[in-house]
Amino acid sequence: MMVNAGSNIASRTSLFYVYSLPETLLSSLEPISFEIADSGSEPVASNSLESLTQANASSASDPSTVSSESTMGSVTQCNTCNYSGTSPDDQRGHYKSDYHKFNVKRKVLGLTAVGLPTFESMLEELDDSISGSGSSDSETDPLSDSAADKVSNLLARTTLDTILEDADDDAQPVRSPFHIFQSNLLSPEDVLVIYSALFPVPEKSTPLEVIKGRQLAPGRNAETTPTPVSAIFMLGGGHFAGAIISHALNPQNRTDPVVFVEHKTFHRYTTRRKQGGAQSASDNAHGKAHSAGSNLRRYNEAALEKEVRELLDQWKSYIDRAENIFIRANGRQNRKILVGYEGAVIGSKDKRVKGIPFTTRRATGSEVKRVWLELTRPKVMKKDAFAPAKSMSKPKETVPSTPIKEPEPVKELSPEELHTSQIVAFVKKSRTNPLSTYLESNHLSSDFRFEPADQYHHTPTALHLAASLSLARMVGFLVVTLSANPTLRNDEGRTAWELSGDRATRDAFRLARAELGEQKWNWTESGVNSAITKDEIVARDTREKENAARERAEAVKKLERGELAVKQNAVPSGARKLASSIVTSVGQEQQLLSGLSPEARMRIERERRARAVEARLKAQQQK
Amino acid sequence: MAVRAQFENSNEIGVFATLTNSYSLVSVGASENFYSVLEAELGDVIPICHTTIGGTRIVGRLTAGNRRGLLVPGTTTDQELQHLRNSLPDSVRIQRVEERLSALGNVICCNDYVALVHPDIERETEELISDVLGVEVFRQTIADNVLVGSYCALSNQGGLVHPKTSIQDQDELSSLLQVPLVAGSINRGSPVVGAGMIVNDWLAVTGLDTTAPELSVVESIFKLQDAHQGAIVGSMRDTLIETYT
Repeated sequence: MMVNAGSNIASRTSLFYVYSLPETLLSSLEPISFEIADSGSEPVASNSLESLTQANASSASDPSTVSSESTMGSVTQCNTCNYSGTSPDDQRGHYKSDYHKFNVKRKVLGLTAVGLPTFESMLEELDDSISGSGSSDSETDPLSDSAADKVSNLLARTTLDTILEDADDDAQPVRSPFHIFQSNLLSPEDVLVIYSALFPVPEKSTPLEVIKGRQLAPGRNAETTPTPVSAIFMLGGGHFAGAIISHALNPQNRTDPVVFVEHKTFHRYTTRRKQGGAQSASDNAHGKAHSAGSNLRRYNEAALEKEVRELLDQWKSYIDRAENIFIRANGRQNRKILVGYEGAVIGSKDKRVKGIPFTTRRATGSEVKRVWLELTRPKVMKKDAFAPAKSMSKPKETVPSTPIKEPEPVKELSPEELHTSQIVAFVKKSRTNPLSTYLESNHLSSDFRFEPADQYHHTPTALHLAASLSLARMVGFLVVTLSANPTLRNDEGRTAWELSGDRATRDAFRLARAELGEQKWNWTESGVNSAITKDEIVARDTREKENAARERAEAVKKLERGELAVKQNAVPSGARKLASSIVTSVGQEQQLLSGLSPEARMRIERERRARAVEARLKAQQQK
Repeated sequence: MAVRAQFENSNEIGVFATLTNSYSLVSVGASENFYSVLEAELGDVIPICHTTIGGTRIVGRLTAGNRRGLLVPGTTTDQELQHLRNSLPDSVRIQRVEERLSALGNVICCNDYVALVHPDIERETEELISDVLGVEVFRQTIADNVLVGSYCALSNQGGLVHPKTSIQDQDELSSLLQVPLVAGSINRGSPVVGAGMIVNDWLAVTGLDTTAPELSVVESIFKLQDAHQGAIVGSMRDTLIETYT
């Protein structure tokens, strides 16, 4: 019977509404918390804490020995570790020990030294966790077990732990965005969750009391007591959507139950197309651009701000009595449009202002509705969704969002594919330094083969990609600095050199050949042309420029000469008409010629010369 | 002997020059004044090599060395390395070090017997240091600063450390290094003593701003007073006093 009732409730929860929960469910709710500290999750940290107190105690008893042994060269103790040896050799041995190195590194990180016994037990624990299956520390590489690596591993681990401790100390224990409740109407492994942003809990009160207090009475008179409202404002990328929403749903309309008291959306063109980002952000970063588009966007940004603020002023009476104000505005600039400007309707210190605790799409009216429904529908979730998140000792924990919401599971990417996407992004943006640090930190070679192979059959390596995109600088960097192999072939059997699209890229290869020397790679196999140096490239460019200039000059000269010849021949002949016609045609042709290719120009010139000869012959015949 | 000099308009001599007992490196392009100060003191004793490191002039901060060897960072070009090999004595080993902390002068502080290094330096680098320079290597901090090379000037005679180094730390370090140490400043109160001066067993060059007390501390801790002067105070004392009385 109970199970039946539970499944019934569970199947209906998606239709519940936090401001009008059924009495039976409400009375059955029991708050539960997963934030109760469980023992044994951070043994290392607790150990080190113990040792700190030990160390402090010992240092407190020590000072007499310190002051007694202050003569030069005879002090045989280490202030970092509170170690005191008997001879200088002892001391030197101590300075070479991992224990000392570990403590020095701790000191640099602002941590206190640990005692020798604690250090040893920490090392043992590290060994255990390396051999054990439950290691979640990605930095521990089971292959490297030399002492130095142990020290750094230990350090990485302990620093992680201390960060975690700190976070535990000052952050509220509430890490999930939900108030979580058990109910005997639900199955034991399920919990009912309600977004805590809707119900801020004052001190000396429990979430349940607050939720009960906010329930709308069923027989309430809408005329005498105004329905509470909340406000949602979303702003981003030039889109604005705002609404004042009544807490009462429209019972008639099942599909679209949200009641807007007021709502408004508008859009202005403010973001830079293709580059992305707001115009003002670009102005701040690179100085003002003077294009027509930038002026347009600048104007639109100002206009959007003005419109939004006018709207807020209009809605002041609603905003003042709103229970919650949800704001989605990315970045300070967007937020500043809504909150905390001079004479703002919504003060920057207003307690009612909250972020939206999940991701949202473009600011539109329907998105505002979706946000409101998402916020106000209580959800039934599996208890496990919360519990395991606790047992993992990660500094940042995020509660997985509702499984109901996700229509398709996210495709798992293999680490190679992740690396690929990263490397491709770096190469495409020509970001050399991040690329090299990325490769180094992930221990990838510069000849890393992209995954999935079928997607990258044309450009299987970073070098192929850079060459095919004609990123000369990247090519040079890959070959020279990261010593990428230019002899590798893609699935079509072509080397990176053969993919390079322009001369600059090919020059980058040849420069690399010059720089690395002939022995480094089998250059003939890679197809790279003979080596070339920077100076040679410069010389070649200037030579070509000169050649082009000379050719142009010659062409002009030829043209003039041709004209002259025509004039000389045509004018004395007395055939004025013909000459004038030729002259005008020459003038016209000259205009035409400037826009033609050299071959076409030559052909026309030849024709004209032929005509000139004809004219001359004619003139002679007439004589 | 301790002298004051200026590299162009900068007092941070240790940034632009390296000095050891068997050679000296200076960066190119300084005023002749600086070179002549060095040449006057060292010219006929040890070679002075004018060079850049990785195209930069901050040779003092990028390199670390002693009588036996010289460590240069991975950014050093082949040409520069060849030039160094040609200019320095054959007994000096030159080694390029691929280390993430590439300003070796800032992270290594050494004399001919012992070296203090940055705690985070790589293990391979530590081995190279002890091989090439023939020194014992200790990871240590100076007055809680990891840049031991910047905050410590060291010779075989003595060492000058950051002015805020505690007495305990000084004792500890001096027993480790087996030389007397003193905490002090350079260049009119600058705490970066390593970068503010260069020193070997018989010469120290400090910035032009160095005050007389600072210079006298340098002279006394590095034992740079003229032996001749010492003789005047010691053996000729009686004669002098007799004359004056």
